[in-house]
Amino acid sequence: MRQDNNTRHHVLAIASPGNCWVELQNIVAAFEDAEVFFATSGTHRTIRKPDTTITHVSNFTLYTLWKMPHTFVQIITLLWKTKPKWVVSTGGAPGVLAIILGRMMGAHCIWVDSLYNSQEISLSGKVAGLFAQTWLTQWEHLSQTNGPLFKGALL
Amino acid sequence: MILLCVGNLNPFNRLVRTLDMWANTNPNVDIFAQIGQTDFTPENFPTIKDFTSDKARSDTFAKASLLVCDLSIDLLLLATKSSLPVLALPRLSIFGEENGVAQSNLAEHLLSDDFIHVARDETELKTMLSAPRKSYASVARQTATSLKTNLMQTIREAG
Repeated sequence: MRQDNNTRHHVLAIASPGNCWVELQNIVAAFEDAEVFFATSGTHRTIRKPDTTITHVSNFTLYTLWKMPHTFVQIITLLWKTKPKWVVSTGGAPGVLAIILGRMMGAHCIWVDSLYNSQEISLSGKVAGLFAQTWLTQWEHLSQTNGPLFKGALL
Repeated sequence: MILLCVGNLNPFNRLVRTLDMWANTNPNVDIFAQIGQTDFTPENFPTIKDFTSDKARSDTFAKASLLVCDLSIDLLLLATKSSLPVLALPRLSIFGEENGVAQSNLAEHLLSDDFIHVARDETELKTMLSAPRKSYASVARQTATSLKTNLMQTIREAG
């Protein structure tokens, strides 16, 4: 039975544009009865989801760490407004930040490393793995006892 | 119908040109292409820049019997959902077709896949296009479905 809007749990789903974003949209289908709030650092040209509210957050990388405080404020605000039970990400520095801050705010954090990372876990994935309660890879040969775990894949 | 898709982010002239050359020697094969930002204009089949909507894209996928594409996850997932066999040519960064080597790496891991057939280069792609195609293998579909079900179940049960 479907829960009404007031009692539905919230999910914050956040990823970089491109393939991570496509995978994220498929993965959140697992939260059938929850209300999903999407966030991405992509522009509208790269987003194919016109019927959903998407919050834009600023992107930053290892080489543009000076941009991180702005993203930090945006994500804190988003977490404060949405109060998610789960934070899910498939990739990108803003996703890692959301996992770290989400964990500090009591959410269950899930990192699913992108299918594109078939040779090794991404740097974002390695950092996120330190904070995420559920840390997954989609390639069996990359799974390790202490994580990331292989529990299946989208393909 | 063979459906060629290259997404809408970066051009993929090499793939579109190869299929155009193959179509020239196989005029009876019905081909339709979505070529995005690709500069090269094929002479042997109709093209569109992008699909007008997700529904238009799904409808076109439903009519196709083979998807020829790059290794973009978006296209591969939609092909899986549509039970559409895939013949893929990975983008190469040395030609400026992608940043990094993600598609080349992914190609290595998909070489033995029953559902996504990966061509190493244009010549192999043309050979694979001419080879008789098996229908979408039920075993491959079951395996892919079960992997996805397990992943979704794990995520659903998290927390």
